[in-house]
Amino acid sequence: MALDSNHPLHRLFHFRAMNTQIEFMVSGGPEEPAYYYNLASDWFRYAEERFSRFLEKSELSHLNRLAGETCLVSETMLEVLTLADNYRQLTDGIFNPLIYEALSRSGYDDTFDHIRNGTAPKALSSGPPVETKNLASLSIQPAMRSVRLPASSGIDLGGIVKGWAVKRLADYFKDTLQVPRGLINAGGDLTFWGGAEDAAPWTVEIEHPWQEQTPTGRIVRADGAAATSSKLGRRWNTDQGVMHHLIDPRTMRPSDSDVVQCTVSGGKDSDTVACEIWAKVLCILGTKEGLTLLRRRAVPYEALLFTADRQTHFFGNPDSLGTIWREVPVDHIHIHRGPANYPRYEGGTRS
Amino acid sequence: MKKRPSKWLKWNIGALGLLGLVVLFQEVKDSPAFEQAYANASPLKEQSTGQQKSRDPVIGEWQQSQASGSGGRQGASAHRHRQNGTSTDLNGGSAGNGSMNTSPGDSSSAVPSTRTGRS
Repeated sequence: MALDSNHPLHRLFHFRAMNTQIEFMVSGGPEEPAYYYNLASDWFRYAEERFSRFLEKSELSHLNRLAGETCLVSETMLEVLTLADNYRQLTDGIFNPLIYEALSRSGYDDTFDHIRNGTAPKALSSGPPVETKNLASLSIQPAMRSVRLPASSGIDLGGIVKGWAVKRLADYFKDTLQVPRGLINAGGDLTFWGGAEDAAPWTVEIEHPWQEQTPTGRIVRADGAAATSSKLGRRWNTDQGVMHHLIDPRTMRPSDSDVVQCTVSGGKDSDTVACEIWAKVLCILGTKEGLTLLRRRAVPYEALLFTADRQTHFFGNPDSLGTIWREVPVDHIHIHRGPANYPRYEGGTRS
Repeated sequence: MKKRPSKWLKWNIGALGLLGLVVLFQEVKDSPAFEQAYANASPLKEQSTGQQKSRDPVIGEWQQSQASGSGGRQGASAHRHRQNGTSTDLNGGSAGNGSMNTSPGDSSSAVPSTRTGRS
């Protein structure tokens, strides 16, 4: 990141939450950076306590245990479930949080930190295939603040809640606390605003898919959002082969598409949630189907896709190459100029 | 037989009493002390502050959980909901059970770098 290290306000905080690394930096606000740090760490802790499927006492775990019954939920849970349902519709069901059982059956039944430390391949239960669930049967009644999951099902919100937490906290800092400059990165799902310095943009390195900790290009913007989804990170050995966490809801198995990693980014007023969702959808659907869906939905974001045959695809405005997307190796360009009036999620859940 | 006061006299006494009360209330209302007390206890002021706090229900719930936590945060706020005979204890978990590893001093003033990639 292009920052003046001598600047007293440029302090990068990092901590772990939600089973991932959080990076956080703000400057120019009326309070000391430590004040914002305390708020940020508490916010992510709050989100983890509410949405983790690995914490027995989380609200999500309660909902999953009571699948089939109507439950009142918090405003926070209602907002995320409503958002998830909106994206379920927008992605033709490819983003689907009703994958709890499929993830568990694939071996992702514990925090990834624990799975990663396991030495022997995980033994998977051999049973009938997981039934494909339709999120439409997830009944949400905003006016009653109630939700009912289909019986014998469960939801996993890991595919949306990091981006949501980043976006919500950034909005709070920008709009309520009047912080003019900042960056929040939760495991690669990030938003940044105000530039790294006056007239200096932020720089976000894109991790190389096959050379861990090595950048393969940069995104350079003053304001925006970005997210990366990958089949190469959260993967583990089982007695039925290598599994990863990106479940294709059409098969309820880890996706076997040609895309192994995808980064999605947008400029000012972009939504980290949208970047996170579309990056996942592209990984699940693959190059052909995924880009067709993005084009059909007129998504105002650009994407960099890495395929298993080590080809790189860029989806977006060719003018962005070299200006916003810098030093990225591109084998194929899919021209797409997104409209400016793309409907954005504004945080409301009530009609 | 005792002579009863005339109706005219009773009306005069009543009117004078009422006038006295009006003057008294007006004096109190116009006093600086009353204005100060009114401003401090104004329901409008309370409503305005309350609306600001609860304008965003998600942030409101977060702030509520911050307020109910002790020692930083021992646990999220607990809510008990009942509907259709179903009782759901929707509370958050304990930070000690999660994967949080937060060190307030865990910061760096060296040239920071951020990255998007596999998580």
